[in-house]
Amino acid sequence: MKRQGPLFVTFLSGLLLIAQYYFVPLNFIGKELAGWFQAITAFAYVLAAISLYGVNGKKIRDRAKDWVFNLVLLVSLTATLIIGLFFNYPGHQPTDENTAFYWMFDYIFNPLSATMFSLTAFFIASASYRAFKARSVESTLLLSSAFLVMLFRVPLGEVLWGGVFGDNFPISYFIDTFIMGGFNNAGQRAIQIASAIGLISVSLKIILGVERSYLGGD
Amino acid sequence: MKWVDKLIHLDRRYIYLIVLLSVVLPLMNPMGLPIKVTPSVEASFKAYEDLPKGALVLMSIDYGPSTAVELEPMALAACDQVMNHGQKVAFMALYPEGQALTNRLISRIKELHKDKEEGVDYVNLGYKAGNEAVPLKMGLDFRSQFPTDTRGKPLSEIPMLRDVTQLKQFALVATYSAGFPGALEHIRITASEYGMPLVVGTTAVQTPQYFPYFDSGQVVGIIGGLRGAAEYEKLAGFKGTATGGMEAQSIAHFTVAGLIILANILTLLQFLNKKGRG
Repeated sequence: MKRQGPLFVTFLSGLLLIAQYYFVPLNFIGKELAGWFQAITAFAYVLAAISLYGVNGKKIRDRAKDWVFNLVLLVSLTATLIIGLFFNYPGHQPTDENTAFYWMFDYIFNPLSATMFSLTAFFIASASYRAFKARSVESTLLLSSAFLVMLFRVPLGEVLWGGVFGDNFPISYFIDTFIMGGFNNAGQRAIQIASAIGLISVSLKIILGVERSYLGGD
Repeated sequence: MKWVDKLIHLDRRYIYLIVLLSVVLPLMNPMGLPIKVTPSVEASFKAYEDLPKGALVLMSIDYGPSTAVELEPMALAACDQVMNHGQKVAFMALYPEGQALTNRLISRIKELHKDKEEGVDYVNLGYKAGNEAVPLKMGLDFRSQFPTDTRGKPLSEIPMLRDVTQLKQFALVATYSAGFPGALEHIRITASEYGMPLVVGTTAVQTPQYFPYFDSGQVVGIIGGLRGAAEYEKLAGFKGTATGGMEAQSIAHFTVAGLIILANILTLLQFLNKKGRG
């Protein structure tokens, strides 16, 4: 019953959601379930926080490798929760300006988050230097199109191109029409259609109970 | 050739230093490079520009601080355009951090347009959990998703939204999106299911993914990355940070391209050297 129950709920939900899409009188089911989905999403945040305490708490207790980082994570999570939940300002949300939560967001989370993302520029440059090599026809084609987009979709590239070739053959037109509007669109559509078909196939397997890994292993 | 091997295995810290200089120096010494406007950004600008005075715009702020450097300038330029034309903007967020970043946008609006009032010209409806379910329910009953603004004021008491009960009462929806949930959810539901005109502002990395939707007419315009933001600033005549940022990006792109060319030449030299010895 422990496994059959969730399988039955999944089968019924999937079947109803497919049926409501094709039969207008059943449309209300989809609308109602969208509200349920929202409630589940909100609860998922709570579940995620509890899970974080569980997983990281165990590592701290066991003094696992680099447990100090787990401790930092839990202290940060707890401090954010306490400040967000209990430092109230009448008539204001915690995220409003001049609140303690906003200060934390603006002066801690904001710069840390921006820094983490900015670091990728350095890693990409270093990785490109080491790995982006024209070793085959495919990689040479990839390298060439990447070069065209990288160099001539920025103002400096356009100025340099214009200086050499004038306005008779604008490179931005070639990139927009042939690379972005042509090869890119064709490739993106193929990927999107293929992944949509893959998604349908996986969804059907889940609904019919063939794919059960989401229930957890035993 | 020892020097070739040495350069191929160049300490990454030198590469980091070169990249750092290529970003910082242009920011300190702007060159004033011209920005050419692309059709997808022009279409986005026109979508706002063609709105009548007093029209309602729903702006979904679906990004966090990590991508704000790309997305905030385009959102801010659009906000300035909306305020200049006497239109009204309601902010919402599918992204948890979006609500706080909307406050930052509102602070800038307050600085730039001192005559504009909260609740009359702009309002922050905040973040709503539920990913794609939010636009889906918004289309059925807008107030079920956003019964109040972030200050807890009911929509019926907010002058600009007093009569709004349906999504279709907005003249335009725009999403400034860094990923999930964001642009794709609005394309699938807000634009495709409910037929709302949608402008998508997105990061440079994600832009190619959304081009097919612009081509098919499912979205009215795309603003892609810092480049798109700089184009938008030019069209809107807004002095923002994207135009200067594009100069840094120009030099950084050329630097990375130069490094790739150098690495390929060195690899070729190494190959020829090994072949000569073999």
